[in-house]
Amino acid sequence: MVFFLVVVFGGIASFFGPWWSVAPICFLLHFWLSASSRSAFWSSAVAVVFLWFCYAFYIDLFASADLNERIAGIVTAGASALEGIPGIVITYFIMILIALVVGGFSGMAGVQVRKFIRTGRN
Amino acid sequence: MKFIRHFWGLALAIILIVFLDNSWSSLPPLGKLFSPFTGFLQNATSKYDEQDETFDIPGLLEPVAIKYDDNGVPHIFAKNDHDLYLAQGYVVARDRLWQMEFYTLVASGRLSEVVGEATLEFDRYNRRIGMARTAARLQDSLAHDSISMLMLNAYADGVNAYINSLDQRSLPVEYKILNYAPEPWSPYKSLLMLMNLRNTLNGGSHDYRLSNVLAQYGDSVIQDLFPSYPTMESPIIPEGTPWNFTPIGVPSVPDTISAPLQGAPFARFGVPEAKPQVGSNNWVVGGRRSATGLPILANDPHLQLTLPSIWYQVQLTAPDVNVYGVTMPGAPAVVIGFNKDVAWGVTNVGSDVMDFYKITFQNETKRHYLHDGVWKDIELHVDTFGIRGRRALVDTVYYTHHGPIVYDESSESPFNKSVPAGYAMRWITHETQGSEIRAFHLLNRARNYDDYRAALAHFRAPAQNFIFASNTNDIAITSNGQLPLKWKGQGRFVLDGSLASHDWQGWIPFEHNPTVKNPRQGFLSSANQFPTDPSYPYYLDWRFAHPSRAIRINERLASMTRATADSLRSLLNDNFNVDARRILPLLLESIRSVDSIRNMPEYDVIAQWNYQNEAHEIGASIFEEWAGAKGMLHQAIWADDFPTDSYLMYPTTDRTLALIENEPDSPWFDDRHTFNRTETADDVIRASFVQAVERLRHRYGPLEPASWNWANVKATRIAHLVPAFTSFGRLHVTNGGGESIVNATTATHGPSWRMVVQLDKGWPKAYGLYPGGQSGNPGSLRYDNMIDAWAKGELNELLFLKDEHDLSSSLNYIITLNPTGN
Repeated sequence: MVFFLVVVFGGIASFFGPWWSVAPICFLLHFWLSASSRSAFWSSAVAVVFLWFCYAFYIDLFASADLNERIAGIVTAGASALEGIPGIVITYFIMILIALVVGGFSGMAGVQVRKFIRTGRN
Repeated sequence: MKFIRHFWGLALAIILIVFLDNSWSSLPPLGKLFSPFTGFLQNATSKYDEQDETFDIPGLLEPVAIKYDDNGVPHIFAKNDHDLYLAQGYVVARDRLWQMEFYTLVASGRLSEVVGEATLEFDRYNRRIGMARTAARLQDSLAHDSISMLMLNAYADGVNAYINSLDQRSLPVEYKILNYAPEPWSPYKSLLMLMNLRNTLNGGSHDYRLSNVLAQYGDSVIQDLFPSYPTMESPIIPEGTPWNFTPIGVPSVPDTISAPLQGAPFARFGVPEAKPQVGSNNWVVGGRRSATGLPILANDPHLQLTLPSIWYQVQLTAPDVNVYGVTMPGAPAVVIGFNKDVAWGVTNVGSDVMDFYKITFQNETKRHYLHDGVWKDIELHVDTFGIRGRRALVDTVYYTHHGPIVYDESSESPFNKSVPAGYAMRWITHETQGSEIRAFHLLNRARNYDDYRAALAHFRAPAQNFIFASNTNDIAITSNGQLPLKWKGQGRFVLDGSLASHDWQGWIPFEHNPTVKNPRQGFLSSANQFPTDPSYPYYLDWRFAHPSRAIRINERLASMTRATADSLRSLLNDNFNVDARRILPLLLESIRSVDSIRNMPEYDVIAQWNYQNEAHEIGASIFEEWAGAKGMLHQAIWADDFPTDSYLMYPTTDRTLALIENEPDSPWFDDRHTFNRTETADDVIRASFVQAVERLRHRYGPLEPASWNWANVKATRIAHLVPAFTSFGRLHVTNGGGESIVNATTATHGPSWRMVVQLDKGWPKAYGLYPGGQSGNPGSLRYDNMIDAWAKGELNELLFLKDEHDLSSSLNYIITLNPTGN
């Protein structure tokens, strides 16, 4: 459920807002709906990774030139160990890593802060 | 503790977001860049993006239709000039915004603001030579020129309309990687483009190096090895063409022709040498030599090969104009092109329009300098340099009436902000009023020869050889620009800034610029060689481009009858090596008698080589490495006498070849570093051959066509404007050519636009392409789609529409610009 909400509302927010606008969505939804911070981390991380991956994949499906290869070349410039790896693997790896940590920690933070407020009340 | 337990996740999330939202040193803002919602993937284009669209544009007077053809070329149909140039600014920005702003950052010395400290010295140099200051002055002085200002203002409005439509996701990808945003455009920025052009084409100097040669060897060596006209030449204005004017008085040569020369090296300026790879070809065959009975014209400007490309194709149509050609991203109008009646092209003249003056200061405060017996005031300008990731830096530039004082490396380390040593630069860039925009306005609308001449009167700098053809069977060429009136040899050496006789003395009248119309030979051409033979009454320079391209072009044109557009296309791709034809038989004769050389497999290859610098030829690789303009032979002869790291310079290729041909026992062949023997030409020729072969073996292994072929050795690459963005460029382009070849493709420079126009009484037929693509977006198919055809020497047929209703199967989609309701 919360996974689905992150994808929908996170997608809408990302479409209109800055790149990180998915983070406050994760925070709020997990503040509201998630039980433990560990499960919040993973459900939030997987939802954002899913959202970014699907949208990126959709763009790449119709793209007429391989921008992944060119961008990978810039971010790995000089790293000969990475030369044989297809650009799309490198760019998607970086993208997934970013989505994972930003999504995960902002979702987890939602639960943590909620617990602080709740325990504060008690 | 409790607080930390509940808030560390939030803190970490915020820190991560801040970290990923910003760039750190050379690390791009990874979050912004890799989010598919805002990052580079938003720059990926698909075929579905190319569909009809309508945009509301503030400032537009009437609707404009822009038809894109299947090569991504916009054909703009406007109802008035204002809307035409506004739409031009809009479409060029749409494809090339990052590139055009990058050029302005270069010219105005502001690159460090986005790149950081690495480009600071480059910026300081560009500021000191004063391009930004002159662009600002030109903008003011153009206020009275309603045509130029209308074009520049409308163009800026178009660029700004596009900039204002952008958000983070639609920014060109380079902004995303380097993490900055475009600034508003203005006429000043278009004028900075003109400054860049002047710097590229007129911004080099040999003066201080030649002064060092004079200081070390004296005048007789200068006369002998650095003559003022080559032994072989084929000047632009055919020899024997009469000068149809009475020359104005040329100033007489003063007693002293250079600044006092003390010490060696006497001067070390941070001024680049003129680049021999920057040059161009153009030619025209008249109706008498063409299959159609009307002229055919060709042009290929040789510039640094970059992505995005320096050129952008466009068709501009309004009630008084319908012109097709290439434009420079950032400036209005078509620079090289054609219309229904005429075609024109340009090559660089490259005459001496940059001189240096040694300044005598009154005292250490450097506030006054001596000129004509009087102490004059130095003008101070303070420049502030923004540097990414660092505090701003303030630099003072000192101006004399000659121009800005540039620094002398011998007295100032590059990163030292001390007072510059006293050499002032006088440069054509600072002398003109910016009427070049008007010149192109008129040229785009020219209908005949008289219109061409009228347009040229407004074009001042950088001086260009404007070649011309009309469908009334006129052909012409003019070495055109504002050329300083000098005494013979003025400015070969660093001049004395205190002598009035060393000042520039005025200007050669426009009507006296070298020009010829409809010569008896039935063709005309230029390849940056001497504009005229020595009969021309004015001094232009002692040195122009090596004549090999000119000689070859004129030979081939002279043999053409019933020429077609394809004959000219074939000449654009001519890879014949004139220098090899001239000198190789002599060189082979010398090495043939040495058994150890004759037994080398490389000897067989070069002995059987056909003088063609074709991509697959190994002979070309060996010749260029051995005896080409930058080959071992030249170094073997001159490196001991004129070491370039001691700020001296080698004699020209032509003089070197003449020395080998005519003076084999010349003492210049002797190596100064050997004490017990005297080398002759033969010794140098043989030793340099062995060295060249060894170098090739070292780099490419044993003789093997796959690695020794000329395309591989020449290694032409088309790099992105940001050198670090290697993957945005194209490495290993396979083609022939060379520095002294008509197809002037070197490792980094080459034909940046090839055009052939076949004039016609009805409608012209034209062909062209450049090594890049219309789009500056690396995520577009049109980023580099013309490179392969360019490397093969092919040309695309250019779609030149008669009017808005002209139909063509090559048309792809239409963009309509509508005025916004005020």
